Amino acid sequence: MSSSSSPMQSTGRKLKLKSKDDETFEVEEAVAVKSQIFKYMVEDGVSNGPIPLPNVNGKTLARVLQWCQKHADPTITEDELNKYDAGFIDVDQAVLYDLLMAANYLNIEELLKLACMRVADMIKGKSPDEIRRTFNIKNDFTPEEEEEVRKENAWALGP
Amino acid sequence: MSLTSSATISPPWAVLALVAHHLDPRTLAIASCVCKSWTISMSSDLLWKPLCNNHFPSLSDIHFTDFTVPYHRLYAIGHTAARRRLQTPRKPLLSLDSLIFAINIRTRTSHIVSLEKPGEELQVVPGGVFKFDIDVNYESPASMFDDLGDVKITWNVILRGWRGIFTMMDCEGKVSFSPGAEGWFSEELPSPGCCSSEVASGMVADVKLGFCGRRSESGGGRKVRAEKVSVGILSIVNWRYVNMDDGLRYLQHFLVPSDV
Repeated sequence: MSSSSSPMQSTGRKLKLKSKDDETFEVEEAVAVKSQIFKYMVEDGVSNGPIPLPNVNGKTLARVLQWCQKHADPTITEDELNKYDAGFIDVDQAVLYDLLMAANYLNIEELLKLACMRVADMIKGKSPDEIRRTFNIKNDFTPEEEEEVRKENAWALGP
Repeated sequence: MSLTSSATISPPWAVLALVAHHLDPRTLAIASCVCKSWTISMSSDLLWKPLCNNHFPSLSDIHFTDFTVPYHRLYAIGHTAARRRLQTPRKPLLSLDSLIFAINIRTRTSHIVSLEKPGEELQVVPGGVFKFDIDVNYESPASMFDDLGDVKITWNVILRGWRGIFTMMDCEGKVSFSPGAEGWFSEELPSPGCCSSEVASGMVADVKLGFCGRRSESGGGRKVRAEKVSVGILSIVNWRYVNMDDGLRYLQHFLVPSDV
C-alpha cells in the first residue's frame, strides 16, 4: 500500500513510545512508520497509549527517532541525506551497536544496513590481528587451534 | 574513522550475526580467524550456503553427497580450484639470446646446409610464434641427376656457452633437388620429463627446406642450392606453430638444469 516515502499522508497523528528506561517520546506517524513494526501497528489501528519498547533505551531511541525524522522529510535531497547518514553513524562503538540492535528490533531496514555497513567497514581489509585490536578481542585459540583455523582459511589469508 | 578515542569493545554476538550478512566471502574467512566465537559466527552454513551456490553452482549438489562437509569448506576448495584453472604459466627462464640453433642437412656425400645461428640473429616471424626463417647460401654439387635424394636432417638447440644441448630433430627423408622445390620434415618431440611419456607432447619439430637454382647450360645437370630453411615447433593439436613463450618453456625442460 503506502510506502514509507509517501509524505502527504501526514494526518498529524502522533504515536507515543516508551523506552525500556521509561522515557517517553511523541513522534508523528509519518516519521514512526519508518519502522516496520510501527507501520503495521498504525495500519492495524493498534496505537493507543504509549507503546512499550523494552529492548531500546531512551538515548538510543532518541537517536533513532532523529534519524527517522530526517528520512521522512520530503524536502531533503539525496545528497543531503547521504551526508547526514555519514555523520550520524560516525559514533562510538557502544552507541553504534545499540543503534544496530535497535534498528534490527524496530525493523528499520535502511538504518540497520547503515549500521551494519559501518561495522563491516571496520572489519574489511584487515588481518585477524588488526581486527582483534580494532575491537579489543582476546585471541583465545591455542597455538594448535590457531594453526588449524588459519589452514582452513588459507585461501583468504594468503596473497 | 574517529573510533580511536573511545574504548574499543567487542561487538555482541547478535551484532556480529547481523553484520556477517554484509561481508564478502574473503572477509568472512579472515574474520573466522579472530577468535573462537567469531569462528562460529563467521562460518555458519546459513551464511555460506548462498555464497557457495552463487559462486560455485557446479558444487551445489555436493552437499547432498556428504552432509558433513560445511559450506564454508566447499567454498574454500571451490575458490582454490577455480584459481588453479586460471593459472597462467610463468614467463620462460630461457630467452632466444641464450640459444644457438645448429642445423645440418646432408646427403650421403655432401652437406646441403650446415649452419650455426645464434638466437639473437634469428629472424622472428610476425605473430610471435616459434618459427624462424633462415636464409642460406649453399651451393650443391652440380651433377645431381636424381630428382629425389635421401637426406639426413639434424637440428640441435645449444645453450650458449655449451652448457646444454637438445636435439630437436634427427631424421631422414627424401627431398626433390629442383629449383623451387620445398622439402618438409617433421618429427615428434618428446614429452618433458615432468609428465610420463604416456602423455605425448603434442608437438613436432618442423623443418622446411627450399631450393633455388637453374639448369646448367651445358645440359649436364642442374645447379641447385638451398635457399631457405624454416624451423619451428608445430602443435599437432591445432596444426599451428606454438607461440614463442610456449616454445621457450618447452626447451626449458631440457636445457635449464634443476626443477623448473
